[in-house]
Amino acid sequence: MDATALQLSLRLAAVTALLLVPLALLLVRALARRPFAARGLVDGLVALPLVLPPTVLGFYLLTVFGGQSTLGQWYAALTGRQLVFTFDGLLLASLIANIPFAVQPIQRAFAAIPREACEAAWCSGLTNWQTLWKIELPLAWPGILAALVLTFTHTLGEFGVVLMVGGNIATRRAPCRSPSTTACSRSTTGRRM
Amino acid sequence: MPEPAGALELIASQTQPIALQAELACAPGELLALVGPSGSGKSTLLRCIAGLHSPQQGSIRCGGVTWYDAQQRINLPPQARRVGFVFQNYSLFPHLSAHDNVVCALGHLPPSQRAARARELLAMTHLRGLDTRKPAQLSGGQQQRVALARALARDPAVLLLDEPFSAVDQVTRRRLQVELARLRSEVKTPIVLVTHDLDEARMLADRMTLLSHGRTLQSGTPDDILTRPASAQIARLVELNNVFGGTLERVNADGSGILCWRSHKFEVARANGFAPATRLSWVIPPEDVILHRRDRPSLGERENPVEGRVDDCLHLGDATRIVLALEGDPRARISFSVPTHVVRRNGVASGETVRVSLLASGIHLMPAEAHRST
Repeated sequence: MDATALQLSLRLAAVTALLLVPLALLLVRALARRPFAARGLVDGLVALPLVLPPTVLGFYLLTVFGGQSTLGQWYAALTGRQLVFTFDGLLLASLIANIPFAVQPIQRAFAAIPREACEAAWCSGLTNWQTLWKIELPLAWPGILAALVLTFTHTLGEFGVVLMVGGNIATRRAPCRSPSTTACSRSTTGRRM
Repeated sequence: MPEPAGALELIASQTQPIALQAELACAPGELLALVGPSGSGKSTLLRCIAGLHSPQQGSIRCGGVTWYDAQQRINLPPQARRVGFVFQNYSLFPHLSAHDNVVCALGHLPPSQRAARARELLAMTHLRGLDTRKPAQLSGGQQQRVALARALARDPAVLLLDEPFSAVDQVTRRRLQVELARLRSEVKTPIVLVTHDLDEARMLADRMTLLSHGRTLQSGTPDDILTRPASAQIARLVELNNVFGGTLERVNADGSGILCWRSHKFEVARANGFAPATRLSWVIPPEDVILHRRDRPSLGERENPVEGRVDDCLHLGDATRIVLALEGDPRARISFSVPTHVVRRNGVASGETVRVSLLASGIHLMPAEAHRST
């Protein structure tokens, strides 16, 4: 196996997990604090990447990130780089594909904290921030850890999305190669747009 | 430094999510028991005081500070209210040791003083040596003490106890109750104790407020409420089941009277200001029903004697609960308790005919019930 490809996969998995888990924490807190009517919709959106087959999700992301798309053009204008077939695009796709794996364990962990534990904290004089830091985060820690591990391993093993958005990077840009794409590149090169 | 303790006053009313129409007051150093059946809104009122729930209308003041006022739109958060709250299930922080649970509530002290103060509080609640234990490693009684130590740590302006003895066994409960009674000499704040246990209220409280369906029905000393309820509904809520209807026939100059009930005429020690010929309800606490001895009649038996057949005779350890069905009317049943040895000596059993006296001083008159006749 190609060491660079493994390195890339590990790097993608680590960066995805480290970026996504804090974002998921913020999202979960925002959802928990304000139980608004559209909460069900947000929950549905969060689960959406699970519903779509990875290659289909990858194809959609490829369309949205592509050089012809608004996002693709905006990104190119901003950074001078394109999104598809680069590490940036791969990371963004990976972040989106992994949302449910990061959000759901954290959501469950926070939901399992008895409301009275927070109320006891407030009645003990702890501010909301101190309550989060001293009480909620330690109690939700197993869920946060689960989210980190799930996101990391899932990214490492993800194939469909990477195949689409990462494309056959092997032949174009040496560092951007994942074992999955490398392995598949031979069979997909001909069909790539 | 804690500000001088002051009285707690609460007026709260709302229609959602549960109806509330409550008013209560608790002086510094006083223990007020909030008593009522499950779902009567006791815990909700406690949560209102702590700032965990806001009633639609009303105001809450403690020690001269307004914590909540619906009209002036004042609503201090729990952090600004300085309450000590012992939750029903204690709600200790499971990941923290007993010591750290207490330290969490010492945020008002400089960090250097917190550990010493926490140790002091744990010693005061008889938890010396258990500082490092996590809640899961403590017994129910010990957890309750940690919760109490944590509640006291804040130098609270009011101490709130939500059924603090409901989750421990009988022996521990008695011991904790004695400890709370002792602690009261050291705590100079108002203490509000929520309980559904009337014995607990009678034992610990200076005053009690009776709550039903979110309404405060009567406030007074436990003795007042448990022997002189203001209405037949209250009488039943405090487990006085000998509630009957009747007519006051005569009121004497000394305030005593004659009560007419079915074919009986009873002497009543206090007519309670009712006018003669008023229809009313009356109640007699079980301890004021005296069983006549068969072998040795005494003078006291001339006081309101009633004869009946024993309908039910239930031995409950030292005491026996007797339900007496009076002649002629199956609905007229008087229940009372006597020591079990008295039952044995007198040969009292189901179906036997016995005589009892209803003590004139125990008969308490109340306004007639509108929709109920017994």
